[in-house]
Amino acid sequence: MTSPGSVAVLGPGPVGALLARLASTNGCRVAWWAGERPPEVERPARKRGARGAVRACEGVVSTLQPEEALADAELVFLAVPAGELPGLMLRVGAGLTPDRLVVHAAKGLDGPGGRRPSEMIELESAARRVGALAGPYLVAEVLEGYATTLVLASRFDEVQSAVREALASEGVRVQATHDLLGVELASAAAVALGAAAGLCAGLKLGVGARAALLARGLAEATRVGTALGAKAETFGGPAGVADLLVTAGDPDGLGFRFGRRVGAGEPAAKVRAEVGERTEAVRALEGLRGLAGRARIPAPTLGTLCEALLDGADAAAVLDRCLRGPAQD
Amino acid sequence: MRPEESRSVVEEVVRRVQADTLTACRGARPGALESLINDAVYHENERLKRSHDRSREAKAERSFWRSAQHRLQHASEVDLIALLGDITRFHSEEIVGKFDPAVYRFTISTIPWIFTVALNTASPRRMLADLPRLPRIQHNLRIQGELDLVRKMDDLGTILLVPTHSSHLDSVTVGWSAFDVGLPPMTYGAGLNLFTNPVLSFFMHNLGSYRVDRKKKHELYKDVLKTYATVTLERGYDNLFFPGGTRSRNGAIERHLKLGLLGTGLTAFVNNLRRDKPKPNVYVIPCCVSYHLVLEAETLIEDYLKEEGKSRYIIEDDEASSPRKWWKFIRNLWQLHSEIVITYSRPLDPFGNPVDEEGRSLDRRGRTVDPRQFVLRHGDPAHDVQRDAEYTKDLGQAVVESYLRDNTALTTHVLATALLGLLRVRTGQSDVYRLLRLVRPAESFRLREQVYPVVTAVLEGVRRRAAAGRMRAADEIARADAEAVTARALSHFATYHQEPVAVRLGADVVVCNKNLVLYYHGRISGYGLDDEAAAAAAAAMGGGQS
Repeated sequence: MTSPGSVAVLGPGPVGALLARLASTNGCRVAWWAGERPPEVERPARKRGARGAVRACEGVVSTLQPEEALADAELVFLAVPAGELPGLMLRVGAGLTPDRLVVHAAKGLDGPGGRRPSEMIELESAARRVGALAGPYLVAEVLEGYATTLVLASRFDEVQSAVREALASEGVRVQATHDLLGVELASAAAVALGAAAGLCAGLKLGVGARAALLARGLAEATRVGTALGAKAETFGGPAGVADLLVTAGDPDGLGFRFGRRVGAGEPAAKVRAEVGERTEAVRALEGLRGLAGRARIPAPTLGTLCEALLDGADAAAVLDRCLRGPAQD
Repeated sequence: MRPEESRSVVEEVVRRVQADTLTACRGARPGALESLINDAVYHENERLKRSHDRSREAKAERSFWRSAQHRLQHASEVDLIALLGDITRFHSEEIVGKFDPAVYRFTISTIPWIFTVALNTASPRRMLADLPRLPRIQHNLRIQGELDLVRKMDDLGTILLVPTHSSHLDSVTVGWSAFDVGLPPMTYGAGLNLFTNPVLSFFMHNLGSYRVDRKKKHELYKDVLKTYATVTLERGYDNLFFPGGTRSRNGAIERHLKLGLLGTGLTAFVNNLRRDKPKPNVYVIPCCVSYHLVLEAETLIEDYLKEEGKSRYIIEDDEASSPRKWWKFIRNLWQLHSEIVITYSRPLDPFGNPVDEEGRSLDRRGRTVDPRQFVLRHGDPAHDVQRDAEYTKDLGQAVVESYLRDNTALTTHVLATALLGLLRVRTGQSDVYRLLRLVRPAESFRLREQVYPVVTAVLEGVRRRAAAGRMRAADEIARADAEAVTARALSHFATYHQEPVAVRLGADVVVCNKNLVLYYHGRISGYGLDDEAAAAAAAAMGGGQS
């Protein structure tokens, strides 16, 4: 039996710590499962090169097992990257019963199949009242009290109001929408294009070329999204354009750094192997390309980025062709 | 439903609609109640102005709504509430069916016979002579699918049967099949226009149907209708309605369902939980009906193709309103040993989850789920209009998926798909409207070189999909070759319709009615068979273009 005001956060990273802290500050009873390692109270978070510290609040109960954290939680946050979500779902799927409101903070897609995080959740559990947390936020900035906008997408008003109650505060605005599909695809596009921005930086392509490339990439993602049933305005909102401004403008971002190394001439496969599982940008890009194919929407820019970042093509050559060739439409 | 029970149902419907409406109006802007009633009165008076009905019932209606209009002027809050009660009662009493179990038993037993009589109306003497050998409806109705599960669900809770809708004949065939499967009499909403056909009216009145007047479009009427369905479900009466809302105009499986009535199952389930009813569960059972030939195909496809026809939601002057056409249709059914295939799909819970043989809901990984948990708020079952609308969308999606999986391809569908593929290649058009404009009269194709190869391709496509569980193939399709399938389909196509769909002339097949080709192809469209047919047609016609 769930009880109101009871929140579980599953996820070891700074996002998990942030959500636990915000919910606890708002008066919720919070249980936080921070992964296999014994939860540390201090976890590093990045902020423009400097390292801030995320400290979970005192009211937060840390648990050793995810099931323990779930217990009677009515609202459950899954704060892991999209690539780690399937593993987490295999572990806790049975416990995510339909009486719980389940919200993920995974920006990205599950590889070439283009499966969205909410689809992974619905596939592996009986939870139906599902939502996605997205938007242009950096953990360190939220903690320092900068004005923040979070986007909460769910088909269910119940989920929207529960998340507002748990997270919204004077400094944190929670903007809600029903367009779950749109928000998930828009934030995947922002993550994917963050790597594109890095690629441009590595290739030293110039600010104008980078902006043109990103705009084209986002336009293609928007077309794919609307073909699948998302709203176009979602891509132009905080979960899309605004988040893209963050990922493309944050040189410390994982995706950005990955793209920059490839652009600077390191072989894509080698960089991917080094960065390992955490290249959400790569998976998101693959996923968007897969969805474009399925929706039969031409996406030449996303295709070019895939060639450069995934398929091992000569990044300089393919991007040059993409940017200098005649306009396609 | 016995008369005393239907009285108490009316009382409950009136009470609930009144209470819900007042709650909703109090939460809304001031004057909401008045404008709601005003809307009802206006729509009804307008409708009656256009109607030419001079029956006693119509006169009573006119007088009721005129008086309602009068009462609405200068009405106080108290007057409005009284008027709301009167309107709700007026609608409820009209909707409630007259059902008598004894008459039901009699009527259901006459179905096989009434068709038999139809077959022989021309010759009573022959009928008597042939009596022992006469065909029965059982020979023409093939009822298949999850029948054991369906029977079990009837013991475990209340059933909401939601069939596809392609013909007015559905009301009778599905009604009979439910009886044959062993389900108790169904309560079901039947369009008022069905009561105008004397044959149908007989069945309608006596098989447990209540009357739905689709011309009444104001909210209050819809609320009464939904509440009626909900109350009967809560009282344990199995319900049947066609979630497509109207007969499929292009022959295709319906993809967009009317969710208002579909959601009554969920409302009833939550109410049952809140009252701690012993068997609270409501099971939704999709059911797919496939015909070789459809009684009203000509009118339906014509309506589909007419631009303005798209808004013609209610057709009153079609084949189904002519008893003569009915007899002709039924006679064909027997003479061709034609089958109507009715497939009962796996039961679903009100959230679209499949259920197991114990009636327990299952998630996508096959784990049992407590359906109560979907509607809990802070630990208690509660209504939530927005949430329940989303759940009902999911249910609608699951119902459509069941339809597609349990749709049975018959020979006429296969041949029509093949012919449409050939027409597509000949005209070089894939857009339906342009294609139909370009098709010349009596377009013909060589049987051996052109038709058979395309039919073979479609047959293989159907079999492949059937093997993968994406659709079903009738026995005749699973075994026969292109030649047999074509011959069988042509024998159906040549009869019944005013103009044959297609006929064989020597070594050619001639398309006589392109609209009907489109219609019968519609039943198995949406599976990607069209592209396969067009590819095979292009290959077949590349060499043998006549």
